[in-house]
Amino acid sequence: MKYLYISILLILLTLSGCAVIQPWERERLADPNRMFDENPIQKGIKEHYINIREGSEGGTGSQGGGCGCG
Amino acid sequence: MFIFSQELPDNEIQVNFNSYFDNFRLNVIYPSVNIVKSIDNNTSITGSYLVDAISSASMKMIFKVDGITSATTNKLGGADNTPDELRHQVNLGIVRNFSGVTVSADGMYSTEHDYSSKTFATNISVPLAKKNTILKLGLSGNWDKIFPQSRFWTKNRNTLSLNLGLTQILSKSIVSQFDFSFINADGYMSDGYQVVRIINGYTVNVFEPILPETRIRKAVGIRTNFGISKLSTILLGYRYYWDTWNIRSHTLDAEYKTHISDNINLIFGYRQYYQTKAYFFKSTYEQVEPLMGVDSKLNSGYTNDASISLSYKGNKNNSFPILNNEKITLLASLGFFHRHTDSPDWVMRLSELYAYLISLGIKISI
Amino acid sequence: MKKIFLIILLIFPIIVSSQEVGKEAVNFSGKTMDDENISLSDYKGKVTLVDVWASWCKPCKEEFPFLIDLYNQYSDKDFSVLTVNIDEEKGNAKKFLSKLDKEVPFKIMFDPESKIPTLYNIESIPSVYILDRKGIVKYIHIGFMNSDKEKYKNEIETLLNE
Repeated sequence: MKYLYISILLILLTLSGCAVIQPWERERLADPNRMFDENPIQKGIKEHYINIREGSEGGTGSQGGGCGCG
Repeated sequence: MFIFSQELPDNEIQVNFNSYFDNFRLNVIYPSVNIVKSIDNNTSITGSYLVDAISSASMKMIFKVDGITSATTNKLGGADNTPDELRHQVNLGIVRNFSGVTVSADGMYSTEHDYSSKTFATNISVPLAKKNTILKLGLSGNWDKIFPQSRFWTKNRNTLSLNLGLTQILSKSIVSQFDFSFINADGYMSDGYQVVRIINGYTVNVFEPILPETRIRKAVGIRTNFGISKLSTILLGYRYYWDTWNIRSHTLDAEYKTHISDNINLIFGYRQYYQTKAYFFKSTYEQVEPLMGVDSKLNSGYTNDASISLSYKGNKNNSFPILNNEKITLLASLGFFHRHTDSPDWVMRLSELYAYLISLGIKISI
Repeated sequence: MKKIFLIILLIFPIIVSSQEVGKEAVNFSGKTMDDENISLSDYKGKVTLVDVWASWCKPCKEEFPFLIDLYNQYSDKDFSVLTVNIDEEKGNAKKFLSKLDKEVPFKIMFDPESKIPTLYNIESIPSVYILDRKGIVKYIHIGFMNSDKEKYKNEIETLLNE
């Protein structure tokens, strides 16, 4: 549990140091390549076969459960 | 997740033909259809249908079962060219935007002749600080029923998942995402077909695996997207996973994404994964123990995954039909997956799994 | 508890908007896409819709053709439109405009350094300010949704009838 707290604290500290990027400054951020999981369907397909072959799950920004693969 | 605004997903139909082949002689073809359609300015409905058609040489082995996917033959002595297993999955969902806050609810039903699964998932995403920060909370419940052909029982497994996400714009070209997952599963954890063989002199005794009936799984992940030029981006990610079965894992992810032209996008991906074994896992057992598991997923080892994806967006400059339709995007990807386990797999007796994945898709704006 | 509040304050700075309803619109000048000089004050005496947009903004793809329709519907009644494009490269804005199936009947100011959104401290792209004949900001729209189309029309008609 302490690792979780430490990670959250580190992230909050990192974020607190960053400036607000204004809406008009996001031209490069608007590129679909800059988005996480720009194609959630293909991501789901990949996670499906990986979850069947590895012992871990979660922490990837996707909703867990439901693949019926143990 | 949308960085810019909490927009609803685009209205589109996406059809994918995915295939998987490996050296464990498993072939899977899984076509899928996904649709997103807005029903008013603030609401969209989503739907998908997926079929897994599995054929496996290992199914023809003595247990009539595939140890990799736990797929079983529908009938004994089936022809080689017909699929040994069919799984159907249907999803229905709704996404609604409430003044920038997006709320979604999804239901999923998956069925095959020896397994059924129901999932209900809900998500809320809240933009903050001029959309520099997006908080996401997801909750899902999953109810599985396992009724293997080779057994006379039906068992259940219930899973509750909680996901927390935080996406933060760090600069004009850097975005980070932090995720935490908590998954609590209760019930029957095996698939009903795996067996533990205990050799005693000249006799081989076969037992069902005995796994703990609860498993709490947690994972933290952080991913960062770095814009390295106007056209190219590098994504780096790390995930740490731990559970009550004593499996610990580290995952490293890297992607290089670039626009080759206005209409062609290329993505190279590489992923490396390392895990420790479950505390009760053994590749072979000499006597019956209180807990016994032989599934390769519970073994220590590592995996490597490399992929290349290409997408082409239709445009009027192209003279070919379909390719000149601006509403169409074509997708293609090729993947290679390698898994090493520190001892051989229980069915195939191999430590190295090599798999190839090919996916073709078409996305049509509607 | 104090520490948590402090962290929250650091993460989410207070947002101040410099352009408010009821106040005179701050004047700005610049060059159009065709390098002509242009100023907001040129529009005094007309009900004016000021729109800040970019080619990379998704809702702008829906909004822009609607602005053309608004102009075509009301331009003979003392109504005008001035849009400000904030793309870093003019070519991207031109590509966006070439994909429209309509001629653009109003002027587009090209502001690659985003001086105007900074001046107005806008909340989102697109942002729309509807000014009355005296140049007072009467309505502000942040973002664009198709369901707001009637609202825009009602607001313009109200100001035209004043």
